[in-house]
Amino acid sequence: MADLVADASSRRPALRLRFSLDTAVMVAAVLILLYLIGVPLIMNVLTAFRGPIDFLPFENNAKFTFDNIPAAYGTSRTWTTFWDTGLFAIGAVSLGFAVGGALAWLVERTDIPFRNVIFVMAIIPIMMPPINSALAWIFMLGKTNGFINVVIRGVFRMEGSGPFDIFTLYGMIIVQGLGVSTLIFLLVGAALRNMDSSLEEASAASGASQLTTFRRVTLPLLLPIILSVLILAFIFAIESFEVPLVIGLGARRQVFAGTVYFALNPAAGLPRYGEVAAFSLSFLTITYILFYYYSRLTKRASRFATVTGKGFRPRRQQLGRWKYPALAGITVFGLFQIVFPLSILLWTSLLGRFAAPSISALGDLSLDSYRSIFADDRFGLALRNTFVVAFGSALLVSFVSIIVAWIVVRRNVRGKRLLDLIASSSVAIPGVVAGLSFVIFYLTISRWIPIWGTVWVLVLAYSYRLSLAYRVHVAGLTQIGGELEEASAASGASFLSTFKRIIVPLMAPNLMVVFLLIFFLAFRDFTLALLLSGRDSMVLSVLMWNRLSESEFGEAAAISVVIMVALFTMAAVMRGLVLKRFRNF
Amino acid sequence: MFNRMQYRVGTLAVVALMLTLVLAACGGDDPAPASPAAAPAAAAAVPRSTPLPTPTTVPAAAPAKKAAAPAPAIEDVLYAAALAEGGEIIILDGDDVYERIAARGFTDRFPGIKFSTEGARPTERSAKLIAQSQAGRIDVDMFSGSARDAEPVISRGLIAGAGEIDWEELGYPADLVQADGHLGIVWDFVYAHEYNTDLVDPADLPKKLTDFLDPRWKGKITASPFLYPAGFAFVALEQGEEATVALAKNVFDTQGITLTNSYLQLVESGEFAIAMYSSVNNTLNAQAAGAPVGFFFTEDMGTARLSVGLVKDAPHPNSAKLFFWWLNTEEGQQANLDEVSRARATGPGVDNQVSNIIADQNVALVLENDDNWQERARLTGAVRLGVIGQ
Repeated sequence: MADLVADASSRRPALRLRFSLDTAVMVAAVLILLYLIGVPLIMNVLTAFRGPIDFLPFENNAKFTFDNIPAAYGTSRTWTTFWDTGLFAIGAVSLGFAVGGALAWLVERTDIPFRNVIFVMAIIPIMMPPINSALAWIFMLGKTNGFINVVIRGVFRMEGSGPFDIFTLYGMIIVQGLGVSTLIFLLVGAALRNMDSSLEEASAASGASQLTTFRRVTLPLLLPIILSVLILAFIFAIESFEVPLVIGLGARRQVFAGTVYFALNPAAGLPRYGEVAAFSLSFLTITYILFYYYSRLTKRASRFATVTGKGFRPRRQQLGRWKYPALAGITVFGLFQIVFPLSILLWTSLLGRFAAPSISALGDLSLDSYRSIFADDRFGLALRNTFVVAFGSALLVSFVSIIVAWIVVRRNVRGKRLLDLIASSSVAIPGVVAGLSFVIFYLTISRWIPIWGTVWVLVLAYSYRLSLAYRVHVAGLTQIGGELEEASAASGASFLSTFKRIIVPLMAPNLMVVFLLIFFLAFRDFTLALLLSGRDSMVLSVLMWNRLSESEFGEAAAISVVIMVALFTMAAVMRGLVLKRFRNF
Repeated sequence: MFNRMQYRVGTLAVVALMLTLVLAACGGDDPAPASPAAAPAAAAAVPRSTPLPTPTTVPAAAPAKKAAAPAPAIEDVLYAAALAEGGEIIILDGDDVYERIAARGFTDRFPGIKFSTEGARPTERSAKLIAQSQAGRIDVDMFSGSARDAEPVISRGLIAGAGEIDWEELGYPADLVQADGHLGIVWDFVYAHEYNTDLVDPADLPKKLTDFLDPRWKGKITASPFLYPAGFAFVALEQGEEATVALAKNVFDTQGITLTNSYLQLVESGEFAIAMYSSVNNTLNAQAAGAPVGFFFTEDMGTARLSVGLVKDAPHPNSAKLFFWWLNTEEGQQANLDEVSRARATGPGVDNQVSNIIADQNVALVLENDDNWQERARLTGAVRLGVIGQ
């Protein structure tokens, strides 16, 4: 782990640090990060070595043990689980990168028409609760009633079921891959937006073909962000819970999520948190190894600096006649990822139950589900709390992560490699383990700080996903040369002034992406919310969970629609604000 | 340009932070205050001069001082005490069903008592309560679940038992009390197979478990990863572990059963014909929503007895007891049935839609009880390991 960080600082004159406010801000950011990630990280590692299984890890009678390791890894299924999970994750990330990367390139670097519409289209899928997406795919590719299968059987006069079956490995990969494509679109898009096209133009002027320019100029310049995105998407796929539980168990694939599900839902007794934490040690190890190689590959960060003091304006490539197949591909993406799932969501919310759309059921449609949720006293409170939690955590994460990323990428300070390692950790901590850690921690400190049961616990807990934001900012800062900051420092500007005037404007696309991601995740998550929310801190995802567990599918779908409308509005506003600023810039 | 931009970005951040703080400041208080008209009325029911029972204790059987004066009804005593302790019930449950049931009669009858639910998925409920206890901050009153769900908290002394709660006084006869006096049974989770009535003729339905091996069902059955082993575990209590595990595995492998957490949606939508081991109340709920589904039984259908328990050191014990009392009344039982199709399936004097179905179809239920729930849990693990390998 010696070289976890892309060391861009060694040849650069140090930005002058003023003790007082500058130092205080940086120290505060580091301390906040250590607090937000340290609590679940330490609890996770300790939980992996606490037992026996009929005790919670920090109960009085629990003690140190290695029993969780063989319980997690010592079965005949272990290698099958690794193999199946690897196949699933690699397949999903490959598909997701192909789709998300292509969309990002089209929107940010070409003259394809309807770019703003495509941007909004590309991010809608991440707003949809994953369980709804998975169910929508069953409606499309279910071997009995899936309408794609029905159409194919009708056209080719086939008998029986199929030909496609969603309950297979490729079914899981399609659903997860397209799901993760939004994350990839957002992250790669931010990098492309920041990329100076002068090098590409120079390549083209030298007679290189578009493909050669892409292979030898564009791709290498984007290496840091591409690697970061691939690693994050891979870990997301490994940890994915909803798709494996809705589709994967049916596909009889031994993915980690299934193993974790059974550990958390034992036939009797307490959830086996120790076993789950032991599993997550693998996630942590994989994360560290991947980011270690990331650091090795991006060691000479200046090679990847595509934003310098020279000023730039991204140039868009002319698609010419290729725009038609591109638009056709985007339309197919929109149909499968937005139109069909959204239609099924709306249909369910209006029908009040789960059924394939049909003409005969049109007469049963009503707004009853919406009336019911709006009549619930708690709906207003939950909506307000959800906004507070999502806004608060997104804001906290955005700014803490960018300051820490700046320190790690730009500053030559002792311990920054350890800081980088810790800051990268939380993507590998399963939500259920983090949730239990927060329950224990905040209940305990409530004796002195009365925070338990308030929305602030949720704000702090949701911020544990800071690693995601941190890695995006590290990649973004690696992409940006330090010349402007140095010029600012040479002019006598303080860190805070440089941060406000240089770093934030240059990183605005990344900040927007990070903010939206954390905001979306906070809106959708119910793993942490179920454990941490109380009567005064009810959030929408908990209300939706209540409806789902009571088989009130219509009301659950109506809440999902409300969530999507809220997130859609937020995304449109953010996109508008950032675009406006970039035009001014 | 820079100045303008940094100003705007900075302003945006400040505005966002302010908005967050303002929104938060607006929240945090009581989310659902009791009806203003109701609360004073409730308070008026308890004259200030009347000595109230202490908030944490209600005499198990308050002796009448004068033979001529009838003892106050237990619900009146509990109601007065409930108001005195704050008029609130905080439920630890997987969803907000009990709040909705209460809205069907309890809150009208006992105004001024507010409900709220601290959510936690079934297996996390015990963990949450234990964590609260460890931190010395128990803030829930009522635990809900089966004996299996409650075992970790009962064994740690976190649920009030004999001497701390008198179930008989609350109207629960001995056969409706389980886990050595810790839990009062409110409804029964009666296992049943669900089928899509558009896809399957009732005459073709399996009559016994081995009928599921008929090739006609191949690829047409789905099941919950939790309930499939749990349902077979009841069978194992009657037919033996080895034979049952073999049968469960045979059906699972031969018919290619699709395990998914969305098994109910998939049968309702017609993607699968049958969901093995769902429950009567799940199907009744779906029928009420207009779904084309029905249920049927095979041999040795299990019945888990779902209960309520009083959390020891609960902040509002009398409110919780009052609610327990009401849940056991005819009104409470009917509210449970009307809201979520949940009811007791068997027992002396039990007469409702669910119990009538059981009686009419002559279903031989395997009831979970204090003697067999641990064995049933073990067998669930055995079936799960034998069939799914987990």
